[in-house]
Amino acid sequence: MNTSSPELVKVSPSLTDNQETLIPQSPEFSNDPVKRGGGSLRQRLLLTVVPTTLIPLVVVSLIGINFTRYQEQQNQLTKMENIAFVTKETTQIFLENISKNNPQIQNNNPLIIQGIKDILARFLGFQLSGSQILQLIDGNTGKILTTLTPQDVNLSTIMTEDNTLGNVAKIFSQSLQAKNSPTVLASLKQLREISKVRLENSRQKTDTKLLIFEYQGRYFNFIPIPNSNIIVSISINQGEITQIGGELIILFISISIFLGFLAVANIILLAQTLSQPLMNLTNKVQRIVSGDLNVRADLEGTEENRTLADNFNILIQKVNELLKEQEIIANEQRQEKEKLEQDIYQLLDELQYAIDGDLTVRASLTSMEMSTIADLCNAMLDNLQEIAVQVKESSVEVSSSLGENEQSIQLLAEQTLSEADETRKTLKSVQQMSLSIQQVATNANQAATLADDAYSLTQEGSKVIDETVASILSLRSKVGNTAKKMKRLGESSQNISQVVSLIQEIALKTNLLAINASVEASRAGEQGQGFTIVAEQVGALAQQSASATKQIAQLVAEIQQETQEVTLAMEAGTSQVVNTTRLVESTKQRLEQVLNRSRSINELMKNISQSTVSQAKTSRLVTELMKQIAQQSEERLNSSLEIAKSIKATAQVAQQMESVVEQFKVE
Amino acid sequence: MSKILVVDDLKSELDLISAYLTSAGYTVETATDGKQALEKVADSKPDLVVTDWMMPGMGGLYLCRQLKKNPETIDIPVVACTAKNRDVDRMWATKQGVKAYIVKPFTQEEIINVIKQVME
Repeated sequence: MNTSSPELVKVSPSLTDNQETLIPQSPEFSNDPVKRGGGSLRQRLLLTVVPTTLIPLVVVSLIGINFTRYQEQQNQLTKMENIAFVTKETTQIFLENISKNNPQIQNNNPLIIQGIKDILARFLGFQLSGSQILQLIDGNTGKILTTLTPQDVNLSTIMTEDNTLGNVAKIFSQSLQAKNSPTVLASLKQLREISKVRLENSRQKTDTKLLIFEYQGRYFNFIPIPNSNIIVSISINQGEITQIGGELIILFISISIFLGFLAVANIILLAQTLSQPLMNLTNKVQRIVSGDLNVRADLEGTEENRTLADNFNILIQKVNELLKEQEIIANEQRQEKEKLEQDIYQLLDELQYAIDGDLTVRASLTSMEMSTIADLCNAMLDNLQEIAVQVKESSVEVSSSLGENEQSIQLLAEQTLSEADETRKTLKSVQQMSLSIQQVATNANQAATLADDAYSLTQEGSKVIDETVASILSLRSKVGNTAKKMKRLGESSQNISQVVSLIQEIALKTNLLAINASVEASRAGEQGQGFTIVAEQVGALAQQSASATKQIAQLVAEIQQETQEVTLAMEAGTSQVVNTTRLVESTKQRLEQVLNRSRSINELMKNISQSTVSQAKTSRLVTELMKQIAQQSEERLNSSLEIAKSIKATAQVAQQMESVVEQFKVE
Repeated sequence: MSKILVVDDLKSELDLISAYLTSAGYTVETATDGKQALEKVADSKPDLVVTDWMMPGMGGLYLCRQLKKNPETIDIPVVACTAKNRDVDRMWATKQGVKAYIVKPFTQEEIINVIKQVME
C-alpha cells in the first residue's frame, strides 16, 4: 500500500498536465519507443566526441611528456658527469703543476688537498645544486679527502665516514692500476650495499673510465684522476632525478583536465545551440498533440531546423483546413443521422401496435431512407393479416364441426366398447367349448385304447380257449386209449391167473411126484438117500411155488379188481371230458361273439376319436379366429378411443388457436 | 396503342408523366393511390403500370405485390418511378416484382425507352 499510493497520487495530477504525460521522465517509461533509440543530442555528442578527440590527445601528450622527462633526466646525469669530469681535469692539472715544481710532494698532502678543495669550491661550487655532493677519495686508503656540497645542503645528512664508498674506491683504483676492468665489475657486484654497477667510457674522453652505481638511494659517478690514486666521486639523490619527471606529469595532468573540461563544455554548448531549437520545436509539437492547433513554430537554429519548422507550420495549416472540412462533413452527417433517427422513430411509432396484435397498422412511405424498410414491414404485415384471417376462419370452422360431431363420436366409441366386450365374452365361451371338446377327444381316445385292449385280451382269451379245447380233446383221446389199455390189462391179468392156476397144478403134481420120489427113495435104501433129499427139496420148491402162485393169483385178483375200478372211473372221466368239451365249445362260441362286438366297439371308438380330433382342431381354429376378432375389436376400440381423444385435443387446439388469433386485430 | 396506368400521389407528377406518354401515343389512365389503382386495373385492364413508390396508404410496391398475387393481373408489367436511388432500393423493388426502375427526375425519352423495353 505504501509503495503504490504515492505513485497513484503522482500519476493522477500528471494526467491533467499534458506536458508531463507526453514527456515521461521517470525510468518506468523506459519502454517508450521515443527513449529506446538512444540519448539526447548532448549525450550523443559527448559519447562520440570525447573518446575520438580527448583520448588520442591524452595518449600523444603522455608519450611526449615521457620523452621530455627522459631527456631531462639524461641531461641532469650528463651535467653531473660533466662536473665530475671538470673536477678531474682541474685536479689533474693542479697536481701536474705541483709535481712539476715539487716532485717529492705526496698527492694526499693535506695542504694540497685543501688547495684543490679551494679551487674546486671557487670554480665549480656554483655548479652544484640540490642534493649533489662532490668528493675526492683516496684510492689507496679509501679515505674521503674532501667533500664539496651546495650551500643550502645540511652536512649532517651526508655520509662522510662511510666505508663502503672507500672500499669501492679502493677496488676501482686497484683494478685501474692492474688494468683489469672485468674483474673490478665482478668484485664490485659482490658488494651487497651497492647496486646497478656498470663501467662506461666517459662521453668527453674515451680513454677515461667512468664507474656508475647506486648506493643508499643516491646515484654515484666515480672518475679516476690519471697519474694519481685520487678518485673523483659525484652523487645525487635518485629522488631528485625522478622529481623532474613528476613535476612535468603534474603539469600535464592539470593541462589535460583543463582541456577535458574545455572540450566537454564546448560540446555541451554546441549541443545546446543545436538542440535548443529542436527542443522548442518538439515542445510546439507536443502542444499541438495535446490539442492546441493555433501554435506556430519559430524559424530558428540551423537551416535544417528552419526548414523543418517551416514545413511543420505548413502541415499544421493543412491539418487545420482538413479539420474544418471534416467538421462540415460531420455536421452534415449528424443532420442526416438525426433525420434518419427521426424517420426510424416515426416508423416505430407507426408500427408499435403490431406488437399487441394490431395487424391493421401500416408504415407510411414518406421517408426517403426508411421507405424500403417500411415497405418490407408493410408486406410482412399484409401477409400476417391474411394468415391471421385465414387461421381465424379455419379455427372457427374446425371447432364448430368438431362440436357437432362430438356426440356421434362419443356414441361410436361406446358402441365399439360394448362390441369389444361382447366379443370378449364370446371368445371366452368358445374357449370353454374348445376345452370340453378337447376333453371329449381325450376321453374318446382313452376309450378307444381301452376297447383296443379289451379286443386284444378277448382275442387272447379265445386263443387260450382254443388251446384248452384242443388239450381237452387230446385228453379225451388219451383217456380212451388208457381205458382200452386198462381193458387189455384186465384181459392180460386173466391170462396171468390162467397161467398161475397152471403153475399151481404143476406145483401140486410136482409135490406129489416129490412124495412119490421120497417113497421110492426110502425103498431104495442107502442109495436112495440122496435121492430122498432131492425129492424133499423139490417138494419144498413145489410148495414154495404153490404159495407163490397163490400170492400171484391174489395179486392178479387185486389188479383185476383195480383195473375194473379204473375202467369204471375212466368211463366216468370220459363222459365228464365230453361234457367239458361241450361247455368249452359253447364258451368259445360266446367269446367269439364278444370279440365281434368289441371289434365293432373299437371301430366305433376310433370313429368317435377321429371326429372329436377334427372337432378339436376346428374348435381351435374357431378360438384362434375369435381371438383375432377380439384383438381386432380391442384395437378398434383403442383406435376409436384414440380418435375420440385426438378429436377432443384437436377441438382444444382449435379453441386455443381461435383465442390466440383473437388477439390479432385484422379489421 | 397500348394502355398504360400511371399512379402517383402528386398531381404535378401525374400530369407530367401523362403528358409524356400521351404525346408518345399511349392511352393513359391515372390513379392517385394504390387502392384506386387496383380498382382501375380491374376495370380497364391496362397493358402496363407506371407507379410511384412513396404514396400515402398503399405504396407502389404494395400495388405491385397485389398485382402479382392475382393470376389475372400477374402478367401486367410494373415500372417503378421514384426519387429513391440506392442499390438496396432497386434490389428490393426487383424482388417485389417490379420489371423496370426509373429514377426521378427523368426525360421523356428515358421513360419512353424503358416502357418500350418492358413492352418487348
